[in-house]
Amino acid sequence: MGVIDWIAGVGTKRVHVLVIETPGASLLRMRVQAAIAARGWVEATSPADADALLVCGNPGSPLSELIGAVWEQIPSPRHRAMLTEPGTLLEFLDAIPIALQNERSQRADAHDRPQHVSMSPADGAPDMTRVDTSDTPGMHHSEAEAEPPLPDDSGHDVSMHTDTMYEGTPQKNSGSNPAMDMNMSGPAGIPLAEGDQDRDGLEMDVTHLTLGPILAAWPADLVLHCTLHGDVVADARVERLPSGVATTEQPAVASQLCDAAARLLSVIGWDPVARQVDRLRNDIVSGVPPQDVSRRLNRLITQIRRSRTLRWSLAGIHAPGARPARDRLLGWLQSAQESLMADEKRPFHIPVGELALSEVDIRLAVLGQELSTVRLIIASLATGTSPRVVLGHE
Amino acid sequence: MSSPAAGGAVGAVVLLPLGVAVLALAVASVNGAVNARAEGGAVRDGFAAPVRETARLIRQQRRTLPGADSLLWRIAGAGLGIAAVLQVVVIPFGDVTFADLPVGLVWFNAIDVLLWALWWLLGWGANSTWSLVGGYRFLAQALSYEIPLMFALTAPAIGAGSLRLLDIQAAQQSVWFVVWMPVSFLIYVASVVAFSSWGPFQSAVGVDIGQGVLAELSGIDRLLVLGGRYAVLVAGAAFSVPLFFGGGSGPLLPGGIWVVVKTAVVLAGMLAVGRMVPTIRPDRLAEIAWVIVVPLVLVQLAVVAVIVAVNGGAL
Amino acid sequence: MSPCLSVFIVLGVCLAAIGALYLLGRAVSVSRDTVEVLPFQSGWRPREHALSRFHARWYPLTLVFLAFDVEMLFMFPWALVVAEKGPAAIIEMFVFLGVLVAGVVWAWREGAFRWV
Repeated sequence: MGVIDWIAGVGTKRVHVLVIETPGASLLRMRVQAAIAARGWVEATSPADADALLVCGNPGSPLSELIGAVWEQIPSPRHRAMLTEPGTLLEFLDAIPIALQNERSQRADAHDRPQHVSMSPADGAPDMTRVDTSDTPGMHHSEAEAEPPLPDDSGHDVSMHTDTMYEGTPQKNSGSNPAMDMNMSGPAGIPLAEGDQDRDGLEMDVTHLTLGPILAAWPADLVLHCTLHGDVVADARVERLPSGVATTEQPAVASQLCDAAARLLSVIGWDPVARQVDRLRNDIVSGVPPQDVSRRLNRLITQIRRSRTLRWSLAGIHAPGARPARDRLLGWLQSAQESLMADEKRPFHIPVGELALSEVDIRLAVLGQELSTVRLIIASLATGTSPRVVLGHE
Repeated sequence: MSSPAAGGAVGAVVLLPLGVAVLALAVASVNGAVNARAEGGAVRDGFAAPVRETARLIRQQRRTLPGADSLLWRIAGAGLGIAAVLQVVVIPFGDVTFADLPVGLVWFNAIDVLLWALWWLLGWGANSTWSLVGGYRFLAQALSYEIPLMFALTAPAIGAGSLRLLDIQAAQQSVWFVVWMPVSFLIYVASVVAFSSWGPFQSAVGVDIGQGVLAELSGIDRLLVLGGRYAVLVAGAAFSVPLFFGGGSGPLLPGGIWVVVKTAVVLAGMLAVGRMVPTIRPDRLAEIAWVIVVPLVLVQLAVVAVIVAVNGGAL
Repeated sequence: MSPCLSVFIVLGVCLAAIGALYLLGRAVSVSRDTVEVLPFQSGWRPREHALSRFHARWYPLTLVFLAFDVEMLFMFPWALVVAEKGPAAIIEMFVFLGVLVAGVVWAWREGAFRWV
């Protein structure tokens, strides 16, 4: 057992946390990110990559069902927690490695969790018994997630589709029903992709993919139900999740702007620079003196401005009517800089201007684009991460 | 023959994969340390990151997906590290080559084409949209880097008039090939980074597609891919030593050590430059690669060919 | 020992090492069983399997690639005899390459290298 314990000890020193932000809880999420970075931990980008699932804020429907489905995709050892106020953050994080190291409960969880996927698409009402099995190790505050689900009509739906039955239903692993649905053609009751004409008139398979709300560097309240030809978005339906708490304290303007910039940079795939902007955001949230942050921010702005590859890679990326992605990125960082330098004598005023795009505009912006462009466009809009007036203008 | 004696052979059999693994771990450590510094974390944590990740992934449960092509998926995951070691097999360490293939250069080329299949199968096997998009992205990227890479590999072969690495190494006794084949070298290094899906060429594992081909991997399966990626990077860097840096030639130290030292220098350069450049999207890369890089490398080949013809051999 | 044999021995060692790693994982990990889960789609259930006829918009580029890929068959043997044959070999090869590059220029004008 010595070796196993040792491996468990070393293997839980760098925990990968899947941080899920409920709409409106961005400050809490940023505090979590800062605390994770301070420990040398990592933010997970997908459930396969995660050890722990940390929900920031109290999720409503359908987010809580989505979280339940993602939880089932996290390999053991795993741990989940829901954080509603920053006061208990450090305790929650301390609990994660302890729970992950608990060999007995983790083995039990790995043994008891559903081992196979079985889908019954006709079953429209989400089966909450799965999510409710709160014998998972160290689960906190599970009551909220076990609430009976409501049919989702709260999102502002601008769909051109009518077949929203599957799209509107979170996935789940109902381990209790091993029988496969005979109507379905593929393994695990999931149908095979079928053909349709693509934009060039060739017969291609059509697949569906929903982006958000649980996705790295993606706005917490945005859901994009896409119809894909390969990696090209043929059609899309935009949905907004309702904001959980309207009165939640908002993060400082500079940290919001750095957050938006860091997300865009990580979507672009400039990891080393994205990490540095992440660090600036974490520092602002943790109350590091603005002068220190501002100096580093200045250097980063210069580096980003000089990058020819970035200019080339982002050329032509913008939503209709919005400014180019690169201008917005630099504009955010400039504004963050100004807001950091502002004091009582020279207060920082955010000019009110261009508003964030509506759902219809977002749909039009992504139609016919490939997924990487879609991600860049959405990240350059930074929609939903913060008050829109702030980010809409630079 | 240059094959080692039976006793040495047994040692080399273990040393070779182990050496690749150790060097891959070292590169990942240095990369982790630089990342930790960028994030404001402890550099020590960054150095330890690959070891911690290894322990974490060994302990983690493996996943599969309904309808996953498990066989091909696992072959692809395990194949990356194997491909790296198979590339290193033909590299001369001083006067000693473990497998002295008369077509060592083409062997390397063949393995790097194998990487196409491995990366794509990794994306295909999972039966997940994000992975599949990642796999196809790699193919699009490969279509851009492979032809320049092949031409870049031809330059040392023309210079030495041989495809055997010992001969190529020997042809650089007076002047290293990197001196009169700089374009080839740069294209070669960029292609190595590209076939490792690393640095500016990591769109197949990009955050924007949920880490693409990595999206559904966990446990040992993920460990093999993450490690294999660095192993391929190391193998590519090591292979540049006999091609462009005179192989094991150098004062005082034995040839084998010089090969490792030069490999480390090339890797350090890759790390440093790779961090300064954002990810290049495959659709933007294609035009540059075909319209600018291919003609450039052909000019390089023409220069090398003329020099060889006039000189009757390498400089 | 022949070089080919060496390659197979190293291949065997690699496979053994990977097998050992999997065995170690079996011994150490919290579960020996591979858990089957749904693909990650932000928590939404998949509507169909992802494996499908993919819209590879760079298809024209693959044809240009193939032309050059086949050309490499001539390139490697040619590289060995340049010094020996001299200018004649160089002129012949670069005329051939010139024809191929003309094809690249044509494909470029047709937009084969842009697919977004």
